[in-house]
Amino acid sequence: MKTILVTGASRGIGRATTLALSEADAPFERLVLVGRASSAFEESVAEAKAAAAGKDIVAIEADLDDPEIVTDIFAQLDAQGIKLHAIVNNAGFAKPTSLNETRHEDFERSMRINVYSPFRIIQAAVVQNHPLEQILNIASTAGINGRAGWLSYSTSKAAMINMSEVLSDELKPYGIDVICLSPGRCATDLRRTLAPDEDPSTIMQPEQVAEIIKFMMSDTGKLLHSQNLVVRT
Amino acid sequence: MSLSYSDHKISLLLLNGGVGSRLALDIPKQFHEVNGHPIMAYTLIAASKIEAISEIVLNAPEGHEARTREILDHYAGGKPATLVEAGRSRQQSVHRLVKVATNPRVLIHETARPMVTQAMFQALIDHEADNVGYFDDIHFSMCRMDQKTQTVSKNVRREKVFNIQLPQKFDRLTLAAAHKTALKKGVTFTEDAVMVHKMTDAKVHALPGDPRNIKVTTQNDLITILQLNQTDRIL
Repeated sequence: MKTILVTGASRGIGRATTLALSEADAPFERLVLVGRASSAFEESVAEAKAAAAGKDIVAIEADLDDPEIVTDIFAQLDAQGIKLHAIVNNAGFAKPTSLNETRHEDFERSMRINVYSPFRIIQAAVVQNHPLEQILNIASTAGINGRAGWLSYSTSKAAMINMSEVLSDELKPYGIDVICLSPGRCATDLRRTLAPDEDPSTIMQPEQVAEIIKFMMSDTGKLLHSQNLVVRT
Repeated sequence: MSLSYSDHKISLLLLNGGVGSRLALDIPKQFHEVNGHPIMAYTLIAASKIEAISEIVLNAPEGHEARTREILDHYAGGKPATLVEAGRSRQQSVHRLVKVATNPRVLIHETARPMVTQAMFQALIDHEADNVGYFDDIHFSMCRMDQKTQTVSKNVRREKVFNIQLPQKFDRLTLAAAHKTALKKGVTFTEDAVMVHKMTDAKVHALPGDPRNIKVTTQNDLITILQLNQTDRIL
């Protein structure tokens, strides 16, 4: 059963991606949704179940602020006999502050959620012999050029872009495609944290990014090769 | 319902005990990294995807058992692996590996051939013959030489000879019997296809080899492997 795992499935791009991949023409029969225990996650899971005619929706509550939780996630997959064919590393954390005001703890949290947990998820899937075909890592245009005032977020997304380049090479013998997708301004809760005064209706919508992710998972989308795919308004 | 031939379990015997003296590296070549992975890992990656391979039996260069185990832990996809002490010769090493294998059929490969693919293993497993290997055409001219006078003595028709490559597949009992007979007769072979042919009445079948499936022996081979890995991206 073709299975995709999506992290950060409660809100924003993750929730929209979940909904897009629940549609009948998306090439997966099962979606594993990972999110923190919250009413938003419950709603997203219910929404996916309602939209997914005949598809299996599996919900795993996990907070990726603790990379060790990845061991539990894979134990749950094993217990249910689930093997992953694709992964969307979407979960992200942002606390936009300058050098002067960045707390060490917040920097570490950004790295744990945005870098270490995706690393642990990919490593577990590869080493535990999941039949992976595609990995899609969500980075950010803020990872391409550093943004003043977003020290920890920019740094963590730069790490994600670079890690994706390394993985693209290292996972070639496995036949796994690694896609790095860097959205620009997108109307999500995370963006509201980064730019509270912006009118969200004037920028890219999460549903549009989700459509691109769905396309990247299609047979035609697999023909599109890019070191770091930028989507922006 | 009877199982199809491909459903039967098979053991992968891995020759991994070479020290690579001709390469003059400070570590045995199978631990040398190409595109981020140790050379040995490429074989494990290809094998890890094949369900029929239920065990790996291999050797390690003396003093490098711990590193071999580490690589197995990270690349064998959870397949059980047994380390066996390497023999004094290649023939003795294979003999030791085959004695430990538990499945009715075995694949033999050497980790110094990192260009092996999942498809190469699978084609051997799916082949109806019990004993089968890859034999590549010879793409260059050859001759016999009079050793004493160092003069050309005879041509060798290249359409009649082949480059014996690995991997190969054998019926385990046939391979074990060939080794036992060779040992008893005191004859040595540098690989197992001709040994099985000479020492038993079993036939060894041929699949066409692949010129890319080279054995890393010299510095030049290392460069070739690197280039083959790079060109894959363009082709």
